[in-house]
Amino acid sequence: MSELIWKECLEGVRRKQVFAIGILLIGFALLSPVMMKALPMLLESQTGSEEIAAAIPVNLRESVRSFAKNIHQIATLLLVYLGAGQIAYERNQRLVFPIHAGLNLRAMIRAKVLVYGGAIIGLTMIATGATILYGMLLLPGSWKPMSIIGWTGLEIGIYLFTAYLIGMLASSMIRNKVLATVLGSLFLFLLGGIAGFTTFEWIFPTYLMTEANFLIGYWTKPLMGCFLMTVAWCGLMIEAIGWKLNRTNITMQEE
Amino acid sequence: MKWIKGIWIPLLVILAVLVQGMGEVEITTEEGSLYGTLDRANGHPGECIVLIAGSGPTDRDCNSLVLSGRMDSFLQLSQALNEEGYSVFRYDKRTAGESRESFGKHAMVFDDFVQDAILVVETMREMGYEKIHLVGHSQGAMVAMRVAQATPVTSVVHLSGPSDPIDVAFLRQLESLPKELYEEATSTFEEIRLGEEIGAVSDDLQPFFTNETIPFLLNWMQYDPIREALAVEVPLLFIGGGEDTQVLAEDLDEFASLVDRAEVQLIPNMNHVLKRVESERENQQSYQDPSFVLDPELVESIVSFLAHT
Repeated sequence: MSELIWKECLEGVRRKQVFAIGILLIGFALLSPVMMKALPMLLESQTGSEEIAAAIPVNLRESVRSFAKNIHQIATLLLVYLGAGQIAYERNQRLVFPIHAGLNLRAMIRAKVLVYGGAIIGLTMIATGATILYGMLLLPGSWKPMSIIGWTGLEIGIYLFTAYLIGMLASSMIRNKVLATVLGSLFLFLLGGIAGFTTFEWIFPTYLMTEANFLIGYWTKPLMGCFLMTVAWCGLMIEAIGWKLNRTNITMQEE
Repeated sequence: MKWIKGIWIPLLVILAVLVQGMGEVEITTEEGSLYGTLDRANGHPGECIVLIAGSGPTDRDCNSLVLSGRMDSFLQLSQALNEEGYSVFRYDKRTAGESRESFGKHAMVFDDFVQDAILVVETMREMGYEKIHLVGHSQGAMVAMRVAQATPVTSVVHLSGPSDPIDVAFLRQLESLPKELYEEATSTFEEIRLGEEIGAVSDDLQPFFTNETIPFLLNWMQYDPIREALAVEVPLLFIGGGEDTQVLAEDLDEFASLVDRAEVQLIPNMNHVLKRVESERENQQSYQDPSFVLDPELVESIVSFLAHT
């Protein structure tokens, strides 16, 4: 297993995927307070009205919320694509010989999940810390939400990891990575919609983003339940990806 | 340990469901069940703090059905008091949360809230708590003072409650209305007080004076906070916020001057929902945004008061 994990680390560095995730997350993190600071000026120049510009709250809370919202919209899509792309790449390009040499597909999936899951969650927490600390320097107000760095970062990170797994799952069913990305994103979108209409919203991973938007640094029972359920959903998806790939005819194909 | 491999996913699901029921307590009344959460702590064995929520359909976390978003004031207070070693019980009023589902739509008066809280105190006593402290917020502060006269409790903390009877306090909040509306509200309260049938009221005032609210108001109006405070025999702490726009700092002054043996504490940056705020905008936002945290002075004041009761 350790060899597979090492191989995934090297592969991640070689294909620059980990760097891409890091640049995306930290880029958003640093941009959010800057955009928040510039927003009244932009609005004033566009509308010519000082009143409209003054009505927009410019503070750290709104900046962190805008970071979470942007990440939700853009990073989710890219991580579904990353997960889908990785499985498509493996099944279409690389797995034929390793499988013949006795590679355990489930072990390979677990190695990917450990390496990329760790990178996604870790980088998201770093990015959340960066957006809060930079925002504290740039924006007015005395709110110093140090305790939420871990919480909000973890909530967003685990949610993004789930998006990555959904991409992998979709790609284990559909060979084309673009189609898999569309299917995975659609599934995630529908999940969010369904969750919003139920009393048990916490059973869905999408609830993590609802909680992340509250910017709180303490446990609630639904949040605790959601963490446990999301780990269960992730476990189920990992098993399903392994199960599906084990039943797939792996052949070399043009992507 | 191989067997765990096969069942860890269902185990997590079961655990997630069990977490939701952690500390849940159901208290049955003749009309329905009150549901609440007992957050246990071991620092002060045999002691329990009961949180009593304010007006409106307010649940155990201090979140209102009629406001979007959350404020989580009681959830935060409970966690802070837990960290100080106190067990805390907080419950959905009969008009909110799970309790509302059980009670359904029904006629009620202010005294029903008092009876509910008495039942809560008795249940906590049956659960083995010998020292029970009441912390009532806003309308809940008046409920706490009534309960303290009806059943043995160790102390009462009165948070952000008005010093005037509710009709006077309510009219004070309506002072910003146009003169005709304000005068109409004044005369309607007078009619309610005299037990007269009230005539048609303006559209703007209709939500306040309905067939359901009039008996409730009439019952609530008979209680004068100062008189009730003087009748409480256990240690009593009044806490008010300098940024409270619903119950003013003058109310706290009145309690301080008329209720000699009570302790009084003004927390300069605290608003009505117990959050620390720095501007009018923050004051409004904090009613619907749980990222605003409790004023730390609030927990310090309560804990230091409870330590010598």
